[in-house]
Amino acid sequence: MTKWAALTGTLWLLSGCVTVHSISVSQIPVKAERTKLIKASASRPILFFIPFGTNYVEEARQELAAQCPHGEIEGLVSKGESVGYFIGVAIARINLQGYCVANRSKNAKET
Amino acid sequence: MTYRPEFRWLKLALAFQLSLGTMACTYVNAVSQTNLPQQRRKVVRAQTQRYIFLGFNFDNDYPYRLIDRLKSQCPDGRVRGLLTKDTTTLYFLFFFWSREQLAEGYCVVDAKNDLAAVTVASTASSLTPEAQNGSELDDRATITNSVEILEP
Repeated sequence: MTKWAALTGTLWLLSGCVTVHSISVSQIPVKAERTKLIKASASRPILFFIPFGTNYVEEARQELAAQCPHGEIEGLVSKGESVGYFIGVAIARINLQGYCVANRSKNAKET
Repeated sequence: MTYRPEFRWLKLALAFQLSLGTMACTYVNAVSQTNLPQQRRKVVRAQTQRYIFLGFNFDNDYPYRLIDRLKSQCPDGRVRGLLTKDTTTLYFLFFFWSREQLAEGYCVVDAKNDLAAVTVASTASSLTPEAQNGSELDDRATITNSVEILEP
């Protein structure tokens, strides 16, 4: 009984723990261009070690791109993390943050 | 709590249930995103995969194929705004799984390079038969006019 109580208490204390799995930072623009900060995030639950898709990463990127439709997004910080709530219940999350730089690359043209 | 022989079978059953429950589950290991360009119409995508049995993996060179596959889809431009995603898919718990890498970006062609190509093409098509057969002055005038029209 004591062991089960100790185990349950430990698991309860560990709920809400956040673990970073991956992080990356891209080239940061000059200070004058760091005026508009944009953020986006997406997540998926993992119930009893069963995830429900990995497309949330693309969703976060689309959400971020929608906030800067006519500019370049630079200084991107991407952070992949998971939050544990209780036994077998967790959330996988991706956070994206960057600067929207408008009126750049007028010579750039897509195919 | 006294030990009972059926507990061993219960553990095995739980392990089997867990392996079945997590079969084909895909977990994201790492994500990275580079700067996004202004023009985001043409999407290029590449993927590599490696099946791993009992943890036997003798090299990690397969992700480099992503570069060649992306370059082949964007031969005349630059691939920017790259999103790279590294995932693991479990097929039978710790016996058989696969590692996948996905890279997705945008193909951006520099306008100056594209402008030079268009200038050459339009010059070739706009030369009159007399200019093609005759004087150099007509050729230079045609080329100059083409460049002046197309340059921003």
